[in-house]
Amino acid sequence: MHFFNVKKAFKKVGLGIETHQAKQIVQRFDSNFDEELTISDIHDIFKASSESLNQEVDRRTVYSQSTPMSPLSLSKQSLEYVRDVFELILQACCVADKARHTLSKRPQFSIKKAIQVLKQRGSSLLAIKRLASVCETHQLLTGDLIEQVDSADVGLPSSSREESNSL
Amino acid sequence: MVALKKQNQMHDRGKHDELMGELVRSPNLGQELEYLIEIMKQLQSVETQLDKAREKLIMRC
Repeated sequence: MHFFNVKKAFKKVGLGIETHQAKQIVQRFDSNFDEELTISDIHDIFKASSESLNQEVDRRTVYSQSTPMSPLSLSKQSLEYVRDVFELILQACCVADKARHTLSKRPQFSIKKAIQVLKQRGSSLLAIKRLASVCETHQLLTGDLIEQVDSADVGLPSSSREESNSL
Repeated sequence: MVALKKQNQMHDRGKHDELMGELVRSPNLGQELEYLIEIMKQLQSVETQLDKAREKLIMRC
């Protein structure tokens, strides 16, 4: 699926998007970096973080990379839910863009510094990891920082290395 | 164990001093970092909403 198909899919649920937005969406879910979405990438668009729910989706979705899928017919309500998902994907892309713009304006800025500030405010390692993972999804931070967060090398105080959610 | 804890504390202190030094040298940096943190939190909040919307869709279909 090319970016123009993404545009079409969004239009189908009543969301007109620009070419650069469609390209951003492809970039986010394109697992093999060929600027196209495979069926498995499209599957990821709708994947929730709950493992049990995803197993249920896998159980119900039988697809093959080589066999084209038959057209789906969705109820009005289901289409609205798809629209909600698309709308939030779009929103996330816009916010990530804002972060990228802020980062490019000030070269001395980095997600790492922001994480250090959060750590000094007593954020837990788990909360910081979650934030870092969101930034990773949107390619806002580099691989080495993810490793540093994993090994708690962003200067996390020992007291905040316990599991807690608060930021 | 105690030595490791002490080493961690010294490492934390070093990082803290380094950041504080930078914030003092560039007063706008603190404000702009604050803005960046806000955007990061906003992004996390949208992603949480997205996850809930996906769950709703999965439950529906």
